[in-house]
Amino acid sequence: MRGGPGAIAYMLVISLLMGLLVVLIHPDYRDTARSMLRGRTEQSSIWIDNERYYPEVVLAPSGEDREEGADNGSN
Amino acid sequence: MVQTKLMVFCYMFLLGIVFAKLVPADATWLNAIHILTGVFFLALAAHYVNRRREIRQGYKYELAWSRVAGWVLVVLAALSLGYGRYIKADTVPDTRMATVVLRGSAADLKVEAQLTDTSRVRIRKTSAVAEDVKLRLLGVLEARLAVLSDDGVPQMDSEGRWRFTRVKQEYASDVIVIGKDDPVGTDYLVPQPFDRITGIEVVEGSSSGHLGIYRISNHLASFVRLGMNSMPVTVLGKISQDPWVYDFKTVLHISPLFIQYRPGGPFYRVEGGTIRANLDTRVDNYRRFARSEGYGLDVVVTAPLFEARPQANPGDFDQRQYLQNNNIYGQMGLRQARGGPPPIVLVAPEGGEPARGHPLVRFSLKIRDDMLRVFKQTLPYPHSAFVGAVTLGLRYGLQGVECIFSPAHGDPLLGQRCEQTIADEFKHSGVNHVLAVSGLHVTIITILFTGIFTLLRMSRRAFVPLIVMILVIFAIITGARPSTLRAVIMNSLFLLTWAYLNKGLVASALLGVPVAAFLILYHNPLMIVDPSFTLSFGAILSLVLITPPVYKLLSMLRGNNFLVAILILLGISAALGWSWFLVTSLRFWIPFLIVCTLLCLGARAASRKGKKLFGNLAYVQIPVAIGTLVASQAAIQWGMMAPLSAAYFSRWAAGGSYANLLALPLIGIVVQLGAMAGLLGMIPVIGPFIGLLLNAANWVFSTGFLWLAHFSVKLFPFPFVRKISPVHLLLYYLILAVFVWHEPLWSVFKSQFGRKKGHRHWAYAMVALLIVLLGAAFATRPHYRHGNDLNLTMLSVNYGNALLVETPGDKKFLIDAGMVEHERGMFNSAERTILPYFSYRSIMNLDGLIVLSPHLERVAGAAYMLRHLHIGTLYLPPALAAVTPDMTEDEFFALVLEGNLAAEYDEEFLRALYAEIIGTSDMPYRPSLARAMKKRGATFVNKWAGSTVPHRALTAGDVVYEEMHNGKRFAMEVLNPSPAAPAGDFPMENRSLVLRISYGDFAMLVSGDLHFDGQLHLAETVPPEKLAAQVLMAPHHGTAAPPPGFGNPKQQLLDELNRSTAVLLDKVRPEKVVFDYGNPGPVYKQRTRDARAAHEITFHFIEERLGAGNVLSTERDLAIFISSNGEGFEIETQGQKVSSGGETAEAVSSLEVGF
Repeated sequence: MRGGPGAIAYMLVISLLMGLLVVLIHPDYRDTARSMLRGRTEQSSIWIDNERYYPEVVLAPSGEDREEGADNGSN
Repeated sequence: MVQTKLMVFCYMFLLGIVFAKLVPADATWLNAIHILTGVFFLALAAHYVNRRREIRQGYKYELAWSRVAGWVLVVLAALSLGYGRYIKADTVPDTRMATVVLRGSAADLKVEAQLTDTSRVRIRKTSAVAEDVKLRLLGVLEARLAVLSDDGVPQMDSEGRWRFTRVKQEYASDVIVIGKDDPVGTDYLVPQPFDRITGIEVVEGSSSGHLGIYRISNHLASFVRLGMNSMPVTVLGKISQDPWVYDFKTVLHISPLFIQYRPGGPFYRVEGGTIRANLDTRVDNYRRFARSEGYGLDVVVTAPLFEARPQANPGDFDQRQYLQNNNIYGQMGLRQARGGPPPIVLVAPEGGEPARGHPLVRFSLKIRDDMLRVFKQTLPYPHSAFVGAVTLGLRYGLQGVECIFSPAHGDPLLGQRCEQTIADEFKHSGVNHVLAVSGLHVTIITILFTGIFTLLRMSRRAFVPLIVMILVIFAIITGARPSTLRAVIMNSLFLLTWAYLNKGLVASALLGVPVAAFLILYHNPLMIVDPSFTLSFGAILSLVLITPPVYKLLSMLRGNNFLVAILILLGISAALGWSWFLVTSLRFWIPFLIVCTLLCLGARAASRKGKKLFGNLAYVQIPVAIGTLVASQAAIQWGMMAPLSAAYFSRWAAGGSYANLLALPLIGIVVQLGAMAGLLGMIPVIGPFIGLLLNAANWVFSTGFLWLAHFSVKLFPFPFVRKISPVHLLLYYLILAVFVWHEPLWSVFKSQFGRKKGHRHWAYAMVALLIVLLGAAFATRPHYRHGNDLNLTMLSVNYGNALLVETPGDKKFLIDAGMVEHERGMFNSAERTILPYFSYRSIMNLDGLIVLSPHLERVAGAAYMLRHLHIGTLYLPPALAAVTPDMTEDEFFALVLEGNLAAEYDEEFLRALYAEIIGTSDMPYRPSLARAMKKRGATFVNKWAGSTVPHRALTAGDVVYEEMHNGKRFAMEVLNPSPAAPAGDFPMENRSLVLRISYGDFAMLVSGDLHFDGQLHLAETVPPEKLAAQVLMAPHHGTAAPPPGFGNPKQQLLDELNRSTAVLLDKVRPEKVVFDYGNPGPVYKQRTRDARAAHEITFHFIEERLGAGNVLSTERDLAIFISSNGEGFEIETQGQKVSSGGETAEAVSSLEVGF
């Protein structure tokens, strides 16, 4: 437990560097980073890949969802 | 002392629960148990107060009797508390409301307590009556009727309470007949409900006697009906958990507050139990409920309420009991008819917003969704599902996901489809525990946040409460399962004692385990046998107690001995990977042990001569972290995985130890990186980019983990093993306890028997103890056979057959191996039903496996039987005996269709046959009959292990097996296919094997898949004495149907039945007909409805001829057990064995609640 803080900081730095390497090499990650920089995460290949995984978790609650919630409130 | 007493109290509480499970008291004793518990606690409190007073007065030393009395009170209070809690949780007792004294034609009612709400009642006969007495109850009903909106939906008031109007009515119940011949104790259900009972009226009859009137609890369990297609009920309730969202459905847990049992009837207040409802994706407003925000909503649900299917076969997973352990007593399927109203409607308080759940839970679920959003942005599928499962407990996202090498996940590295899902790979490789959020995950989170807070230079006393709060949120996020709760309680206790009392790890763990167990079991004592509870506590106790002696044992390995130990381990590992049959054979162990002995002797001789082949390398020189990891893996295998996995699942992941050596460090990194990426990813603007970088690194580690599981399955088997009985489990743990506590035991022994011959005494004592324990294990080994009878067990395997034949001479044959469907629901009755049953019965060897026809529901499971069991000979119909793995589709079709390529089969059906019998090239590892036959061929390893399985084609006239027993002949003879048998449009069916199993005067005819022409041919060509049988297994599961044509299909089928089946019945003259039937969907697919209709007609056709009660079905009656001593025969069914719960439900389902 006492050696934890150093190890976590070390792991964090190494992981960030390793992640940078993966983003540079892996085409899907490259595409995702590009999409995120352009503010179009919903078009990134990773987000599209996850389309059917917990589909109710969306990037931002849509207007339709909010309206639906309001409608149902007085059912 | 207080700490020790607390630990003892917790363990004794647990023992009280175990005692209640083994010897449960009648629920009527519950009040007495509660009073007794109260007395013990009062006495304990008095003792404690008295002791404190003595200490204050200066009496420092406690008298011996007082000390003993204190301990006895602790034990008794804990035992009675545990016992009472379990009885209360396990039973829903009826409450006695009144007694009735019959005096001739009058009756006196003595009301002891009034009904508190609209309730149903039953009358119990408590003494004999001289003649039948007809009577009826008089009372008042204040029916609770819902206030409806314009569109007919129940409404709530502005406070969020359901709105009702009460309609008062005085009435008399229907007439109840107390029969004079009915035994004392008989219960009579009163069809109408009451709010108050005011009197009783004798309508007819005159007798003296006593009756009791009992209120039936309004627990959910008393409202469930049998069958999924019964009348719908309306439930007003609340969604009590976050919804489980799959891509094809959502599972809701609904706490019912009120239930309307009959449309238009009164609402009852529900007194306990939860409903699990499957919400179909096509229901209106599906998305409103299929997300975390669904938690806490008030809903009106209208659908049939049914209970889970009971255990269909001995040894099956008991789904009903499992659900009840989790307080789920009813299930619903929420589907919406086309154009009909939705089965679930959200209701909000009048003029307000819809209700929400507890704020802390909502907050936790919001964090979970935010983290999941980060994962979906930064990890490709299925890595996102894996990280979501291990970090957030969302393991349902991994359900049905093909393995990492599937083309479904992008470019496949190996270019092959997977035969298993990721979840299966985890299970088979022994790393499945990472998906159940438990001590490992909670410890990782604890270490992570301890590190972060320390980095922020916060003091220990300041951040520990914060971490405890984080752990609580983590538990809620991950579903608060028992394993998580156990870990959170233990970690919190550890942190608190570490921060405020300066206690160490072991001390806090030893205290934390029983306290956590107490808290969980106090809340729900039924969890005592739940795998999630026992495996979790088994793991932590193994780690704490068994790891140190294992490490000590391994530390003795050094130099040449260390080298020999490594060689032995490598040898066993190689054999495990090579063939499971090899490591379960003496043909392997005898030479292997000889080699090991020689190696040990050689190592010893070399050491004496000073030759050190390995230098001075020793186990203790391995880095402590790795050495401890290895020791802890061995500890977990011995203490938890091997015994409990066998006891619960009948299987053992042989490669679990190896896989976990890599899996544990990997999962530590994956969870920490996932948690950091999820949390940091929530920071506005830069957060997603940090999350992307961290999870890009995590992609590497999670890929490594998924690869590890995948290849571990390829390397090591996941065999079925003998199911361990509770007695053997106890003996096993006694032996393990001797190992763990051998040093204190030895000290006690030494102090009693002197020191002179210490080591010899020690050895004698240990050997004696082991002999006693092993002797007890042998003496109590399972022995299920009774007498020298012929036993036939027809397992309930849905649509399909699996008939176990146990001859009087104890030979075992299995006829057919059930259905396996890989493509859709991964349905596998071989692995889910047949092999677990064999494991339960300790059957690991079959003298023969007989497959009657190439139909999937008979042949598909054969590959799994060949994979897991020692089998003497495989018997096949001629067409199947010729199959090879390299056969093309055309060759195969020509073989099974006997050249009649225009036979009545659709292409999808034939392709499925080809995939299961021959195997497809895109899935080279998926089991198929031809591949399994090749694998069990005469190879070197099979010859060595004695696991070669020869196969033989059967035709009419062959005798599979015969023996003489007590002067009576047992024989299994083949009656079909004969060369003259007509193939016609149904060659596979008409060429099916037909067997006659006879023993003395008893016979059973197993008619395989015979179609109408085949049945007629059999009836006309086989001599009647060869056909006569007391029991007939219905041909073709009762689903044979004429080919589609013109005219009325039902009439066509009846004509065919009259033409052929009726003739066969006349020749066989059976007393009983048994149907091996269940849901035909997996086999018939698009034609399922036709198959069901054909079965219904055939079933009733035969029932009309034999009479009701003489026709049984594995769908309705579950497993069927037939036994014969060669003269008569007996039939029992699993349905009869598990009928107690069913009867209750049936009784309530027949109740027409009205007013």
